[in-house]
Amino acid sequence: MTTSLDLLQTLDPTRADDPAASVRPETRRELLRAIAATPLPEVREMSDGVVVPLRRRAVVRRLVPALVAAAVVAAVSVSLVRVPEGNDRPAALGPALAFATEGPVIKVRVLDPEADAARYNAELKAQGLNVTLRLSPVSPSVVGEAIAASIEPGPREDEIGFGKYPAGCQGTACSPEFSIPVGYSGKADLYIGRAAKPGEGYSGAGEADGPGEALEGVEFENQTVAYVLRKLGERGMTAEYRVGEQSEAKDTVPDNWRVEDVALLSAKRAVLFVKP
Amino acid sequence: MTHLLTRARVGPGEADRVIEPPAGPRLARFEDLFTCHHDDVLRYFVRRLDIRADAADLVAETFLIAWRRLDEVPAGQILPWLYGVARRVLSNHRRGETRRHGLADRLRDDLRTTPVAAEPAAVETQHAADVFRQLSDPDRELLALVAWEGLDTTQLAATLGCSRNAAMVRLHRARRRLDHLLTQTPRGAHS
Repeated sequence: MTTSLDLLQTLDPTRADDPAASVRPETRRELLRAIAATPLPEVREMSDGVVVPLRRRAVVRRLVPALVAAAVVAAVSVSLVRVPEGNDRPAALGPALAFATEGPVIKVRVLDPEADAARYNAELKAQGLNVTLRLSPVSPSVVGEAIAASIEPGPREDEIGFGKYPAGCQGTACSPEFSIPVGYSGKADLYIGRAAKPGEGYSGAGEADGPGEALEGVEFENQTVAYVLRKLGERGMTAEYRVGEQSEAKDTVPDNWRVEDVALLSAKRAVLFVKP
Repeated sequence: MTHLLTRARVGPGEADRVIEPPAGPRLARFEDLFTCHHDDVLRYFVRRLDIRADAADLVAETFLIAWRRLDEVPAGQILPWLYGVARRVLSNHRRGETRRHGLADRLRDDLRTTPVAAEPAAVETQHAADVFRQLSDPDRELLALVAWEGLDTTQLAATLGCSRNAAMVRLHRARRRLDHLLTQTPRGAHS
């Protein structure tokens, strides 16, 4: 049986073409010699152990406030809402996203979680943001969280943040919102969780005993399969199994095996990670 | 052990000359570390970069740090320690903070050789590649360290600078998310 890790091994870019094979022995020797000939001196190192050109860091620090200030000005001018022209269907449906500049960030709220990615992306683009958004169904406790994201370096990219609204909402009553720092000019592709529709499989799930989840309040770790199955059954759920370190898939396992973890596939189906 | 450095070429066109090895035991230790792990560190970078030759500066930077901080390298966990340094070097590189090392010139040239043309990927592999790209950066790195670098959880913990237990849990969660996506993402659905 092929495990997911086996599959990943097939993706190793050096698997069929080992870069070490193209490095000549004298190249290795020269690099070793050159490094060992480097004096062990008063080189300033950053606390993370990585030697960086200090002068350059200082310049970057000085530049950042100026960039942000410029970006704030730019953002004010783009925060006017653009109304799509024409009589096409997206316009008839109204905006799928709402934008508001709040201090240093642009808050983006998802008004229509069922809109297709093209509508989101057109609206993000109209705001001058180089951001794409794709929503995927997730379990209740992680609505609004990023399932995956590819974020290009740019001013304050660390401050791209994810959340949900209305404040204090729970589970499926929440809609995603996220914030993009004013002045962030890189490209960001965001995959964010939305509440799953009935019967829809999850692309991402929170802890099975997390708030609003199927096993909220249930101690399942190290319990028997029979016990956890009963608890799942009370919530109308069924299960499949993964066994041991290799996560071997099984449809059935003995009732007295122990449950190590539970992953939610949908509101109706869970995976139990079990061991004898 | 063999001392590789007693005679070394300084650069193209220069006559061989004898280099006095600095501080014997330190050099011997570094030589061991470099010789045993150069290729592993090189592969680490090549796996994570679009352009192979870019790995040269990062390999040089990683071993330069190892040379300077040799006293801190834990004896039983040398390679995980190097991967830990390599992760930070790579992250600096991605932020545009890479030094170009003259000492990496030859390595850069060697890596410029044409890579072997990839065979067309099987449908299953393509699907896995699509799913792998959808994972978050931390999940992808964690899974790659296990699937590609072949680390066990103890080594993973040393690389990530966390407890073994924390590494186990993080790996477990990452695998879970991977399994989810593998089963939930329709083949060929991801652009």
